[in-house]
Amino acid sequence: MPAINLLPTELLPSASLLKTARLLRTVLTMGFGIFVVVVLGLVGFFSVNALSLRSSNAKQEELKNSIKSFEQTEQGLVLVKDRLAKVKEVGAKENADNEIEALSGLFGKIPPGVSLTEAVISKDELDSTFVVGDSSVLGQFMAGLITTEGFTKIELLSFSFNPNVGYLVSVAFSSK
Amino acid sequence: MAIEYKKILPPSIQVFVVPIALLVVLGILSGLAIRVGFARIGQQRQDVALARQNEGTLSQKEGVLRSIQATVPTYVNTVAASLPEKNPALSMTSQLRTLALSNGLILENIKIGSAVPSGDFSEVNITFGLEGTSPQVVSYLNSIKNLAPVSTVEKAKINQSALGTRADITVRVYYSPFPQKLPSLIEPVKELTEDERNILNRLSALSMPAFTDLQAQPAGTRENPFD
Repeated sequence: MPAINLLPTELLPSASLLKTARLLRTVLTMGFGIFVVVVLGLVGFFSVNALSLRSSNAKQEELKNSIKSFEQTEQGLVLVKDRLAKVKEVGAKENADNEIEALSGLFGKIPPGVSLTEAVISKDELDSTFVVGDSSVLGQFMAGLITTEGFTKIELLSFSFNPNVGYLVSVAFSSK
Repeated sequence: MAIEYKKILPPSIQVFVVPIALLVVLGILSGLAIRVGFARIGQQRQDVALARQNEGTLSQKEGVLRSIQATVPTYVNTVAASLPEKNPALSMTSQLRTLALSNGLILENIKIGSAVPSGDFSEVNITFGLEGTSPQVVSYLNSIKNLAPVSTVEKAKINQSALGTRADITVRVYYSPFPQKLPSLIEPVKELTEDERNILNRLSALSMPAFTDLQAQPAGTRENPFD
């Protein structure tokens, strides 16, 4: 049996309103469709991330257990790094190594007839006194002094002559 | 209810009631999806990124520890002998005496000062006298830097007389307590740098103090228990 609409035609909504309403329904249908797709996408993404997180956490636990078995090695490495850093600090402290090396180097250059009578070595200075028995080696000795490396200043503190021993030469090497 | 709104509202508005209601529902659902869904996913992505970062750090740490497992004990012995945790004055004195003997020098008047804290370290001065020839004394002074534990020559006074050469020397030794804490498990571990390797090589070349391990003697019978 066909449906009968008994409403007066002037009470019916206009054709343009019906068209707008139909368009709105189409938009709504598409909107719901997009919404469902987006929600499904989000759920999928969430699930993939959750799986990835779980797998990463499991791997981390495995690695942590493995690292715990290397605890002795880690302790050793921490100790080695700590000691090396501190040895470096000790090495950076002022010391007389440079002055001792210079004195040692001087000994290699001292010609026969020259001897060390006194040396005072401190952190940045080396004061030394030599006896040079013969004037013929004096020049050679002084030339050796001048070529001593590693110092900013080489100062001739005193130069004297004693007929009993020879020439007394006092030199100060300074690395300051 | 449906009949009631149809009675109240004119037909031109009735056609929009359902679409507008659905639009409101879609808006609310989209709002919820954006606020809750995206926020949770954002948080989860941060968690995943952090987990991957931690995993990478742990993996690197495990790799480094595995690769140095065999060599670290040797390094530990070297560095612990070079910069001990306890006052090394006695072992250094033994080292100085051994060096003097090997250089044909007489070592005397050994005095050990008290420990002085200085930053991360404690410092102890050892003063002593040496007798021999000038070249021997200078060679001795030059060799002190090759001894373990690490030390610095603070001052030295050399005097030559008719009897020979005498030197009064002050050497400073250092010690520092061992670290007490391990870094956090997820903290990355760094391999030795080139600079650290150079220092380690230098320390390995030092002359280490000779320690003797006395073995426990087995119990024996004594004929006279009062002996």
